Amino acid sequence: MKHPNHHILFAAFIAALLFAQSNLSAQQRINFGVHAGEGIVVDILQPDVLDFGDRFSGEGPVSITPWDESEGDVVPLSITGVEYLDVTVTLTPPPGNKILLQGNTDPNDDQRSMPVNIKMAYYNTGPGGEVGEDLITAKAAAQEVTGDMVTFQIRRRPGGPPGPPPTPPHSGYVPPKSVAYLFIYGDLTVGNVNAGPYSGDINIHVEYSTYAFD
Amino acid sequence: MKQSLYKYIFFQAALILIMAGFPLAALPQDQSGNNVSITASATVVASADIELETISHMGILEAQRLQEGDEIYINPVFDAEAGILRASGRPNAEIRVSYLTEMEVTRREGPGTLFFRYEVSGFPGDSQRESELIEEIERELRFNQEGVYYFWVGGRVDLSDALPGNYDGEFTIEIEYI
Repeated sequence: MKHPNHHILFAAFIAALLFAQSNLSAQQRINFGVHAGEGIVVDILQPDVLDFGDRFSGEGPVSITPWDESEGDVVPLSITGVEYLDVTVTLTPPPGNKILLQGNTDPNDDQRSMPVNIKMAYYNTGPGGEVGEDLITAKAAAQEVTGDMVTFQIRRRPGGPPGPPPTPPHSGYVPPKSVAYLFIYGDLTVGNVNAGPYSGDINIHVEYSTYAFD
Repeated sequence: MKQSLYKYIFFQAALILIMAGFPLAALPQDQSGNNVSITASATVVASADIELETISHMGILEAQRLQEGDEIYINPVFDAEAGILRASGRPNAEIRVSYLTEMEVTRREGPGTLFFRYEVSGFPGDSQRESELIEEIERELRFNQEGVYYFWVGGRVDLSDALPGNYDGEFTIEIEYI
């Protein structure tokens, strides 16, 4: 051949593509209940910061909770999605479960970090739609979550036998939507730490649940 | 030969397009997921401990001008001879203050006593003239926004049993959070 360079180039390119593809095919799985295109909307309501307020070095434990006497405000989130579908919420606390003094990046620096235990609770038993002013009621009735992941129906079926199966999706059909609420709260331990502002990011990922078999 | 090369390139290009398209189609569907991020925050302002610092001692010697008969009286609100104490702790925190009002001070060299009856005034700031006698303040005492509270210590010194010499005394004040 007169242009061997082209061949090498093409061969390498194709090899690369095949390699990429083989990676994907290794993750073959059968998915049940993949609901695309019915987007979930997650909104952070006010207050949008889990603020433990002004604390004193050595003060000890500080709790924000939706139920009992709280030393700060719970952060509410609304999750709008298809009423009868399950959503899975994954909470990722700040790295090392610590909030850090401004300028510090090391969660192991005990003088400049404070341990937090971030928790969540959900509310899906409302009348459907936004609760508006009844957010306080929703908060009080919220279900505590153990761990950093939870799956629940956007709107829990009221008691009694299960209703008829939902209308299968078809052209022109808009499935009913509802709003569930998520509350983020937690505990902070104020040790003998340096003074100053402390903060950390909490990530919340919400998606429709998929029931997969590898 | 040239034409067959173009064909070859076309074929290769088509293959690449097909291959490139396939993995895209095999990628997972839109997960309909949603990521949000919130911040957890707190501000650490100061230590919870109360620290007491002596800014200046009570100046008995300088207070000779205030002597009337056998008694020296240092007014904690008005006299510069009053001792100054600065307490620091939690900003805006309520505090309870108590102190020993009477104390007998003995002469270092031997017999002879001074009898002290303290008067203490306080103010959440370094302003003696605005201070009020602790015993007469009916509202709660509070550290100021910087977590500071000042005390001025004066009182009456009974010199009737005093002999010339050196006297050492102390003033005890107790501050606690309510």
